Amino acid sequence: MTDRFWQKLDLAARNGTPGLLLLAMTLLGVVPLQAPLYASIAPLMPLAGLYYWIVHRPDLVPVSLVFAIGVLHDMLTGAILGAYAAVFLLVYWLVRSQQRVLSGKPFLMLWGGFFVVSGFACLTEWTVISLAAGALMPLEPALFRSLFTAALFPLWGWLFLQVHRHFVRMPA
Amino acid sequence: MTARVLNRPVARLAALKAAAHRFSLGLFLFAAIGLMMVGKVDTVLVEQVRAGVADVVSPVLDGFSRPAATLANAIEDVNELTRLRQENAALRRENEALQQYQALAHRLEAENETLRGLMNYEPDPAHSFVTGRVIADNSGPFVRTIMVNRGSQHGLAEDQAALGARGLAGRVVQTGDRAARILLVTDLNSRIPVVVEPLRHRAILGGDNGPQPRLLYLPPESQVHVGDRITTSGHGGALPPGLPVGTVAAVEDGVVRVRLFEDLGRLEYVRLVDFEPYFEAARLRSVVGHPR
Repeated sequence: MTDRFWQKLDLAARNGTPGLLLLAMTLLGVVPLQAPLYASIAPLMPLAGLYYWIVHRPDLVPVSLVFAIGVLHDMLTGAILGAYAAVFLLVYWLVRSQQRVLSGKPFLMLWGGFFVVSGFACLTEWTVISLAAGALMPLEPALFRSLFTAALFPLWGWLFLQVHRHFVRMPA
Repeated sequence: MTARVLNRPVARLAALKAAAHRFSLGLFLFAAIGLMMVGKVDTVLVEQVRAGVADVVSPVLDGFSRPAATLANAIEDVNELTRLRQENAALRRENEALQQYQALAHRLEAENETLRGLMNYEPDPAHSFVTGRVIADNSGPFVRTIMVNRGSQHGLAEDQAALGARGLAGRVVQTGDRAARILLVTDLNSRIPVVVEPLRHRAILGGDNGPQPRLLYLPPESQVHVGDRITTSGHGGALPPGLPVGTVAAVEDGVVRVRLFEDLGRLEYVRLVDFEPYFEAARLRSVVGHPR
C-alpha cells in the first residue's frame, strides 16, 4: 500500500516535471535582468520548453497546460489577456503536427526546427497584438525577438535533455 | 476476420480520442479569443484578476529577482572598475559645475522665498514617497511594464508617478495588495503631460515601445531645440509638476524624440509619489473656502 503510494507520487513528480519547468520558465521570463536594451529583444522564454517537451513527450504537455501557461504569461507581462494563450496554442498545433518528423532527430535538426517555430510564434504574436491594437506594430522587434529566442535554444535544450534523461521516465 | 472485429472498438476509441484531442485545441483557442474579448469589454474584472495573480506570484518573483539583481550589480562593478579613472575625472569636473549651480540655487531659493512672501503664494502640498523594489520586468517588444513589491497596503494607488534615481520612469496602472504594475513612459499606451523648458511649451510625452518616446501635440509655433529640458506639467492633476523627465534628443521632420534621464532597462528601485494631498487640499478648499 505504502509502496504503491510512493510509486504513484514518484510517477506524478516525474510526469509533472515538464509542466513545472514551463511554469518556472514563464516566471524566469519576467525576472528583471537590468540589461540595457534587453526589453526590445527579450526572448519568449516558455517557447523553448514548449517545443522540447511537445516534441519529446507530447503526452505530458496537454492542451490545457499550454493554455494555462499562455494565460499566466499574459497575466504577468501585462499583455492583452488571451494573446499569448492563443500564440502558444497555435505553436502547439504546429509542433504537434510535425512531432513525428522531429522526434528522435539529431540536435542540429531540432534547433533548425526551433528557428521556424520561433519565427512562427513571433509572427503570430505580432499579428495578434496588431489586430488587438488596431494598428500595425513595427515588425523588427518581433524579428529580433524570434532570432534571440532561437539562439538561446541550445542552452535550454541541453538542460531539458539532462532532465529528460535522468528524471523524466521514458514512456514504457 | 475475428481480429478485425476485435480491433473495431479499439479503432473507434482511438478515432474518438483523436477527435476529442482536435476538438480540445479548437475549444481552448476559442477560449483564448473569448478572453481577449472579455479583456476589451470588462477591463475592471480583468484588472482585478491580474492584480490577484500579481499578489500570489510576487513572493516568488521577489525571490527570483534578488540573485538576478546581485549578478547584474557584480557585472556592473567589474565594468566600473575598468573605467574608474575616466569616471573620476568626469565626476570632478561635474562636481565643480554643480557647486556653481548650488550657489545659484541657494540664491534663487532665497529670492523665490521673498517673492512668494510678497505675493502671498500658497505652495503645492508636499508629497510623500514609497520606495519599491522592481520584482518583475515584463518588458518585451510590445509591452513596457514593470512590477514592484509594494501595493495598496503600502499606500499605492493608480496614477501615482514612479521615479527612478534620475527621473520619471512611469506611472502606476494597477495595484494589488502587495504588488503593483507600472506602465513605463516608453510603452505605446503611455501619455504624460509635460512642459518643454525654457519656453514652457506644453506637450504630451507619448511612448511608442522604442527607447526614446516622442513629444505629441506640441503647439505649431513652438520652438524646441536639442538639449531642452522636459519636466512633468502637472496638468490633469495625477502627477506632480516639475518631475524631471529627460531632454530633447532629436528634432527631425516634425518628430521630437526625448532622451530620458532614467535608464529604464536598469531600474532596480523606484520611488512612488503619493500626490493625493493635492486633490484632498483642493477638495477641502472647495468645502471650507480658501485659507486667509
